Amino acid sequence: MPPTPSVFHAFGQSAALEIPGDGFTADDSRWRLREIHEPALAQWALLDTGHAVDVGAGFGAFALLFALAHPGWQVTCFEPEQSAFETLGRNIAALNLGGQVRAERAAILPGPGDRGLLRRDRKRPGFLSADAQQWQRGTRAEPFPARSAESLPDLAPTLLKLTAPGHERAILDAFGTALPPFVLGECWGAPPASTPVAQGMGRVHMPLAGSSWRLQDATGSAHPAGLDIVVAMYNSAATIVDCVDSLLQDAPPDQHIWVVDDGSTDDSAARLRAAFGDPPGLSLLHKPNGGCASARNWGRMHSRAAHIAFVDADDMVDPGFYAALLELARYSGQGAVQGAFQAFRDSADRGRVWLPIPEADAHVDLPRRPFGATQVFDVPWPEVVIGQPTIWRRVYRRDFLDGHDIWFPEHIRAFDDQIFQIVSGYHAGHVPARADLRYLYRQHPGQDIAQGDERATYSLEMYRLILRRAVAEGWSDFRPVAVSFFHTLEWSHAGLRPDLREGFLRGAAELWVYMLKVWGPDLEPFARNRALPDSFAREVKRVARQLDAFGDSYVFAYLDAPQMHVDMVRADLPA
Amino acid sequence: MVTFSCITTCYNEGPLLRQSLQSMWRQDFRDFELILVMDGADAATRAEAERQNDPRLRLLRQANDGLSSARNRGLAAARGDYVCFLDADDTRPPWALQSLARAIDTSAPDLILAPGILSEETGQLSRFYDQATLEALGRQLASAPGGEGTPHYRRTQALALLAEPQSANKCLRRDLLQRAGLGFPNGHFFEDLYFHALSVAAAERLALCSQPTFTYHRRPGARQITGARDALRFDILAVIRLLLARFAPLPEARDPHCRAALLLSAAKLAAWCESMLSHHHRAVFRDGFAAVMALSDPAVRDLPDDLPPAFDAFAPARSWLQEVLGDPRLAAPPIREVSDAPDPIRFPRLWPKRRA
Repeated sequence: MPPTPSVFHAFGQSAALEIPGDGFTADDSRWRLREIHEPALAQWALLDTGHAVDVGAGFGAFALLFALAHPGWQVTCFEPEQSAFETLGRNIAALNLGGQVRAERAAILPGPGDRGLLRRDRKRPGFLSADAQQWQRGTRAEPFPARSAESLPDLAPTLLKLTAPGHERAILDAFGTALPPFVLGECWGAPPASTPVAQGMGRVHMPLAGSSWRLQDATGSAHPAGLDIVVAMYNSAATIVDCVDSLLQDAPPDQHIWVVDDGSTDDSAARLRAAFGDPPGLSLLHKPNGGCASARNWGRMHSRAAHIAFVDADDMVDPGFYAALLELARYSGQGAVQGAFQAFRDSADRGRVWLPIPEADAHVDLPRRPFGATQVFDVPWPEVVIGQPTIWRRVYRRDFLDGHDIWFPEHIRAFDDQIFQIVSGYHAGHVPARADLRYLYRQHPGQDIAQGDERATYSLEMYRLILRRAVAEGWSDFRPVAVSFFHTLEWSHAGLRPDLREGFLRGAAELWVYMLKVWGPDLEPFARNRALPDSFAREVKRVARQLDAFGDSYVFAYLDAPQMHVDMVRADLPA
Repeated sequence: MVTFSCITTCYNEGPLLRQSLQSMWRQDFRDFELILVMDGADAATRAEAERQNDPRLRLLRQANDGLSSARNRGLAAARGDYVCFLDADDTRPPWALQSLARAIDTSAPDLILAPGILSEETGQLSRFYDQATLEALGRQLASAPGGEGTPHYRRTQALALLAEPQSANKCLRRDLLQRAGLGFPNGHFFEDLYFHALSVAAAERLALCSQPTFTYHRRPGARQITGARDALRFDILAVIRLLLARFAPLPEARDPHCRAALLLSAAKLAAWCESMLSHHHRAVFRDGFAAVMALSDPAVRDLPDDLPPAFDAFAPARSWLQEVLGDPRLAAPPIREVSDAPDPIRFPRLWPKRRA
């Protein structure tokens, strides 16, 4: 019985193709054309002539429709599986494309030799994959004719289409940094390194199978590919060398460290220069003292790479920390990605003491999925908002921060990273994360916010600014911010100097009434009065009574009180 | 000899900044520093700033953090005896600082107010809005020249409070600001109302400069704050709330003329903001203003009836304010003293009440 041709549509063309007998291969090709190949080609501007190389061409669903749509192009197909290869040959002949399309029966494999092992899936016999661990159950290995990946660049493809499960990385590696101008396909194996793709001028679209992530080019970004690491440094002579040294261990190739000397009065800058000289990936910027927020913004304003991270000069990272995060950032395209963190303390008598990892239990329930050899998971935005401010263990997309106008407010001299965390967390939606690499956070007794002075007022101002932003930007949910607000109140109040507590609680109460007036009674259950003295609840009642006659309204996001302004609180302190 | 710190902040003024800076370099009086705070300034504006090569220029740069924050940054860096402000798109006549220095030499006041010139969008030139008020202030100072503690000083302050709350029209002793812990309210526009009123209240000696010291330019369709029609205008509500809270405990709040001047100049600005707002925000804005009044000390929102002729020009602001103060929601619950004692413990009733 002659096989029934089946009609395929793609790239503005339709063609009747003979399909192999297993059914799976035809469905699979049809799905791949519709979900991967056609959406990518819809974005790309191809020239009139070129050479397309199709690795894993099957019976020709992509190659033949591509050839019909681009009559000026030559197409070379590689297909190791015998029945698919024979069907491909008949399809080329039937469409009369013999002059344009050439087919060779071969798998493209790393290393020399004209034969190699592939695994054939038992349930889907058309699916041939690398002889790698992930496929070794339920499949059997067979020898196939092969050609070395290293020979592919000799064909000088203008467009490379890959369906080569498990060999994607080896094939792209064979091209080094000189990738073909267009690379299309899907990736089942280890995710290829993103840097050559991000640095290159070409277009790349390679979704990771079973994931919403993809290897993708950075075309369209206003910023050059790379990671800027801004290190805010103020009198950090004792720690800056260790900090920068850790950033240089297994760093991504396109990383640039910007150490911003925020008017240090010690020899931090000299020590940095003495230890590292003036290498190309490290810049030292000087500015008049203006606080940590101003130093971070300064570094951001003086750099321009597509991704950015902020590091404190007394901290360190595990080797490869930011390299790994940069991969997550590029593959996910998310506004922010993160690693784990752990605090340590250097004490004179006991040396370095490690504190427990605070998130060790918090994130265990989030579903994991593989990313290469590691596991990743998504932290939903409410978790980010509620969590302790840890802006330094993340890598951000610069255009994400710029587009949402997320900066460190420079007049806020403590808690400035909390507003950054909450606003970026909300807008990121979710934050892809790895738990196996740590940012190492140094705790020491002199930390600003642990002083218990009037700077606690900054936390109130910060939440007022968030309330206002949430209204102006139409946030869908404010409840996580309310939870964070009470965490912070509780924590700030506990450490606050007794003479400042009354004013602090008055400001907090007024702000809480504003929040309730803006978001309505849904927010009420999130009040955690119990953690605060009774005077808080009384003060809430008093302010609420003053506003009794007023309905709920967004206008309360725009009010303010002197107890939320540190300079007004300070002006009233006895001299 | 007195020294000045002149503070200018810039954002997106571009080439307009050049005129402003050049008007400073052309000052007859030369002993000043010009602190230019680039508050998230765009590239064109930064280029203008960096093109200047006068050694008196001190450039500070920050990510956009608002006008108040930028002015406070400038104040923190200032080193002169007196500070003054100029917007990046406004100019000073060449005699400005010289005239201010002369006013300072005669009386070493805490605060000097000065008249200005208004340049309309059409190019029409006139005296700045508060010329008549300042002339009344001049007559008052001539007849009662004393400062804090003299019989008619509150009247002097009341007239000063009626002057246009604008930053270029004043020059302050820097140590007054430090002593009073005074700065601009971070995070808000319309910061001048707050700063002006509290400067006048803090000043123990006031002077008036007889010469105009600035030109205020209204610009067609410019991206000035004064052209905004959106929720940015709501900042005036926060500023008035902060101002009334800070003003209420001061002795000036107990003087009916000072209190009236403060309320009326606040109401004038609020009414103007309301009139500039897009219509879909107006009702809510009015609610917000009433809420601000509800939150403030009832004594400070008590508007006296009998006012001298200098207040006549504020009649529209007065009727706007009276309309809001007549809001029944303000009259409703008298503010009860809240006891500091903890709530009484209520024991659960263990037995049902016995029936009679």
